[in-house]
Amino acid sequence: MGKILDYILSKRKKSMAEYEENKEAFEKVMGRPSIEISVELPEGCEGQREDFLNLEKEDAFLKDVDKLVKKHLKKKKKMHDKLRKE
Amino acid sequence: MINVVQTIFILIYILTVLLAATEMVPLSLAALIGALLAIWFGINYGVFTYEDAIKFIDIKLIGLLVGVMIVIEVTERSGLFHVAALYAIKIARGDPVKLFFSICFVSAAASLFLSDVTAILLIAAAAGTIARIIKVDPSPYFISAAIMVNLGGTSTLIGSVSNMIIGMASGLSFTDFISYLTLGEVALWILVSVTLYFYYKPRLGEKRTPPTYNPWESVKDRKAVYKAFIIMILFFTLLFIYDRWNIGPEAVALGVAILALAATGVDPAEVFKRLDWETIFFIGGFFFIVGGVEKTGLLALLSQEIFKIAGGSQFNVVMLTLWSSGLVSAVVSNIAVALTFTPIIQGIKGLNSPAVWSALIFGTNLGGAATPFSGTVCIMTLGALKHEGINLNLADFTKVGVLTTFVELAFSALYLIVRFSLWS
Repeated sequence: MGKILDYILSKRKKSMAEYEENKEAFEKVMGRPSIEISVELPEGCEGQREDFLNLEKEDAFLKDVDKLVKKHLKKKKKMHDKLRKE
Repeated sequence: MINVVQTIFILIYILTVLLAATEMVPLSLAALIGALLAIWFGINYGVFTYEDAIKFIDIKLIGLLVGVMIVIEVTERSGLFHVAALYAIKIARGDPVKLFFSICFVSAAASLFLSDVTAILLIAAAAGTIARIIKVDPSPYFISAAIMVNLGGTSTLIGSVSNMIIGMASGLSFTDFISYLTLGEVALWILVSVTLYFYYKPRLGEKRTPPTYNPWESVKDRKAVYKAFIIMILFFTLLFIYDRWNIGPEAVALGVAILALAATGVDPAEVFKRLDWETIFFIGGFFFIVGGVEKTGLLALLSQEIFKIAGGSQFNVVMLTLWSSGLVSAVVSNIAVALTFTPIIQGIKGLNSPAVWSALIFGTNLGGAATPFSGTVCIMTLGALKHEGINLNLADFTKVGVLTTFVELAFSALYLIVRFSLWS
C-alpha cells in the first residue's frame, strides 16, 4: 500500500510544491524570520575563490555574521529610540 | 437481459473508472480515452449519432466550473485565505484543544470557497508550521483537516464539483441547496469535529507558548485582500438572488469571474494557466461515457430496478441513494459517481424529489475521506505528512476515515428523514 501511495505522490509533485510554497509563506510569518543576502567575492581576493565559497558553511564566519547583525540591529534601535525622544 | 452493445459500454465505463482510480494515466486522459471509445462504438453500432454525442456535453456546467475556478483563483492570489488561516491559529493561543477545533472549522469553511485540494494544501501547511513551532504531533491535525475539508461545502451549489454536477442536473438552485442542506452540514461540522476530538484527544499535546505574529504580514497588498473579500461577498449575494432574473448560476459565476479579472488587474493568462483543467477534461470526457451508457438504455434499466427494490417508497429510494453513493464514493471518484447517479435518479419517475437529490449530495460528498485512496484530499494529506517526516500507517487513516464516514452517513440519514418528513 505504501508503494501505491509513493507512486501516486510521485505524480503529484506540483501539488506538493504548492504545499511547500504555502509552508514557506507561513514560516515567514509565524516562525523566526530570516533574510537572504548575496555577497560577491571582494575585489583583491580573486585568488581565494574556493575559500570564499566555503564561508557559507563555516561556523566561525556565521557566528561573526550573527554578531554583525546584532550590532546593526542595536544601532538601529538606538537610532529609533533617539528619534522617538526628540 | 443485457445485450452486446450494453456490455461494451459497461466495459468502457469500468475501464475508465479503473484507469482513473489506479492513476495509471492522468484522470483527464482516462476519461478522454473512455470518451473516444464510447463515441466510436456508439456511432458505429448506431447507439447515437454524431449530433447526439455533441449534446452529451453540458456546456452550462462547464461554464459554472470555469467561472467558479476563476473567481476562486483570483481571490486566492490576494492572500485572503492565508490571512484567515493565520487568524485561526492565532486565536488558539497555543492551546492544542482550541487549535484543534479552530483548524477543524477553518478547514471546513475554507472548503466552502476553495477546491478541496487547494484547501488542504493551505491548511496542512499552516497546521504543519504551528505544530513544528509548538512541538506537537501534526498527524491528528492533518487528518482531521482532511476529513473536515471533505465535509465542508456539502451544502452549497459551488462547494464541490459533484455538487455543481448534481445542481445543474436537478435544477436545484443555490438557495435550494442552502434550504435543504445547510442545517445538516452545520450539525455535521460539530458532530464530526467532536468525534475527531475524542478520537485524537490523547495525542493533541500540551499547551505551549504561541508565537506572536501579525497575520497581515503574509500579505503584500492589503487592498488586494479587501478587493477579494468584496468579490466573494458580491459572488455569494448574486448566487442567492440569480433565480429572480431567470438566469443560471453559470451566468453569475462567469459574470463575477470577468469582474474579478477586471477589478484586480491580475494577468488573465496567469489565472487561466492555473485552472484545474484536469477536472474540466475529466468531466468533459465522462459526459460522453455516461451519455453513451444512457443511450443504450442501461441507466433506465437501473432506474427501474431501483424503483422495484425500493418498492416505490420515497424513504427507501432516499436511503438507497445515500448509502450506495456514499459507499461507492469511498472507492470511485465522487465526480464520476455524481455523473453516473444523476441520470439514474432522473429516470426514477415521480421519485426524483429534493429529498433524493439531497441524499445524493450527502452521499457523493461524504464518502470522499473514508480511506487514504478515497480522494485526492486524503492522498495530499498523507503526502504533506511525509514532507514533515511522518510515514503514517495507512490503516490508522482508514480507521478514523471509516469511523467518521459512518457517523456522517448515519447522521445524514437521520437528518434527511426529519428534514423531508420521510416517515410519513
